[in-house]
Amino acid sequence: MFDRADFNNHPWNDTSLGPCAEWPRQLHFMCDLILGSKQPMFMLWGSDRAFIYNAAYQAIWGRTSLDTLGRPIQDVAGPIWQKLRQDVERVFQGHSFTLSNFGIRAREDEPTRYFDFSYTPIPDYDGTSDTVVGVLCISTDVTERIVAAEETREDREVLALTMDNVTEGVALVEFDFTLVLWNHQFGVHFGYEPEQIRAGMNARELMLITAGRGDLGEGDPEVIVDALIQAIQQSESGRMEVQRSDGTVLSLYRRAVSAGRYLLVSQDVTEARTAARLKDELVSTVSHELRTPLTAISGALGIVSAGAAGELSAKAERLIDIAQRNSERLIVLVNDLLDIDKLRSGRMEFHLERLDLAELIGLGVDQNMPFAEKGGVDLKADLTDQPVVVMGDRHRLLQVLANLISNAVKFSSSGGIVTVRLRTIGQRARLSVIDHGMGVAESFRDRLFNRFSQFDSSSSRVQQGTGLGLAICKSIVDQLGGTIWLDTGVSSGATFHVELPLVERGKLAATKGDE
Amino acid sequence: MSWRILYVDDEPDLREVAQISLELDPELVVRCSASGAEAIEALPDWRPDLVLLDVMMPEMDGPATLERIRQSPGGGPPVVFITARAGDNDAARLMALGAAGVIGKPFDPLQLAVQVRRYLES
Repeated sequence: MFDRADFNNHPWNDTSLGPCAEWPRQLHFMCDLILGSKQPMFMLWGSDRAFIYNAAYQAIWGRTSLDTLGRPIQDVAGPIWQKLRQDVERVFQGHSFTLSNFGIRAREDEPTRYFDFSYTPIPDYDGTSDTVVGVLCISTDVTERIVAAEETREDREVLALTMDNVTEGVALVEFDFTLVLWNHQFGVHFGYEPEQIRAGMNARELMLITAGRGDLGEGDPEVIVDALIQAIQQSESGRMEVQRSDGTVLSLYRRAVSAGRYLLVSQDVTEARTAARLKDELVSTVSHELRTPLTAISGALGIVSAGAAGELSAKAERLIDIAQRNSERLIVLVNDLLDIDKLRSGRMEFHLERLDLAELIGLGVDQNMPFAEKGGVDLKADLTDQPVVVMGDRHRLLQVLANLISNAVKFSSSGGIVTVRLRTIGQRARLSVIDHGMGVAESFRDRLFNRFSQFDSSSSRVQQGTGLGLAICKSIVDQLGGTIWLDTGVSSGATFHVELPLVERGKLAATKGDE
Repeated sequence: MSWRILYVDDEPDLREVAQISLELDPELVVRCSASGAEAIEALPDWRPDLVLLDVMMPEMDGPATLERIRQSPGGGPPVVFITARAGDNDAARLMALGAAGVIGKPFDPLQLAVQVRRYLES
């Protein structure tokens, strides 16, 4: 760094500018200006373009010596001057000129810094001529801007690279559906040609293409798309399935992100859907195919065990009993599989009617009495005197009750008591099946209602079930608008509750009056 | 007093079990057919009081057989379907075809004759 004293003591006599004392007032003034500034600056003065710079400018170049000060620029600047000469000479003609993003490395071991150099003509203030006496160049360090731009570019490249290498299609749209960015897969999934998709377009145009192909269902594309847009604007997020006419099934997930933008993620789920359908078909077919031989087996065993085919020895009777019990188990399993299949695919039909739960549960308890007696369990009904009216499907509710009673009996020891209780709690009917058996282990509680869940399958008692019963119960109760849960507050045994909304008394009375 | 039954099923084992089940009632006399076509052929000769008809059979299935039976003189005897697909939907669909009833598989061998008599007496 040099200071004003170093500058004054410079051997100016050896330069074309001559001794300081003889300089024009304007040159003194300009030197005061640049030497007082922290901003890197230099001047080219006079006809041989004498080079005058300040300490900040010297620092850019990493020089310490002042031997270039006051010398003609063409003697000191080297090849750069050759490049810039024409442009700088034009500034001497009165035109401004900016050299942008010029990279300089002060030292080998330092990173490149970038500068804008802004050249301005200095007119002759003394008015002795209308010529330009010098050129002032002010430089601005723009390294941060350049680095940020570079980082942004790199980020974009990484983003594009990432987006084009995921299997999901991704698109980002503004709140008004202006398309901001998208990846290659997105175009592939929806079958858009590269020229059909561009930044800044309205995604509605793309939706119209899709709707026009019939991929969003039958009807006028404009109407379909407008309805879809309206639906999208009314929710934060959503998932929809698009069945394309070429057979592709897309799962499209939408989420509102910052600044009102939507992120769309599409997934090709064709294979998954096909596999799921095949699996369902397989379960359905196998179950039906199993019924025919099972009918023959259980039928034959039923006739033999009834003694209709002649007397049996005691040993043969025991064996037939084993065979019969096990064929019944298979029948229950097949029926459960078919039920779960129907419930999952939504093909299970519900015949909703107003039902008196007190009467229905009384019937259910009677129906399950033989099973309880076989297990040596005392099955008790604790019902209400008043009718408890709900909307439900008679057959399905009996199925739920049979499942719960069957579980309770299986988990009770001989001589145990199972109670079926009915109460009204506020606007809901609560059915409870209470046993005093081994209870439900805590580790098992959260998957109790999953398919094929059985606790401790080594226990012979538990093996009697298919592991589908509670899953079926939950599906049925859910579809009837109710809830089913295990009471975790009881100290012993297991208590299951089912709650269904009560039908309002007024409504019931009105209907009865009509009939 | 005895009733004549025609049991139609393509499964030989089921035919045998069903026949024995039905004959637990001594007043039921049973003949079996292994296909819809065989059943149509047996009708004029056997003149059953009730036809028990399997739904899923190769070539001519239950509903197709029922249609043919209805074309016979006098519209033919009442028909009760026996089916593994005895869901609510299926049962309603079969009843709509003009069946007198639907019995699900697997049937209870000790109850089959009772069920059939109920249809005969109604």
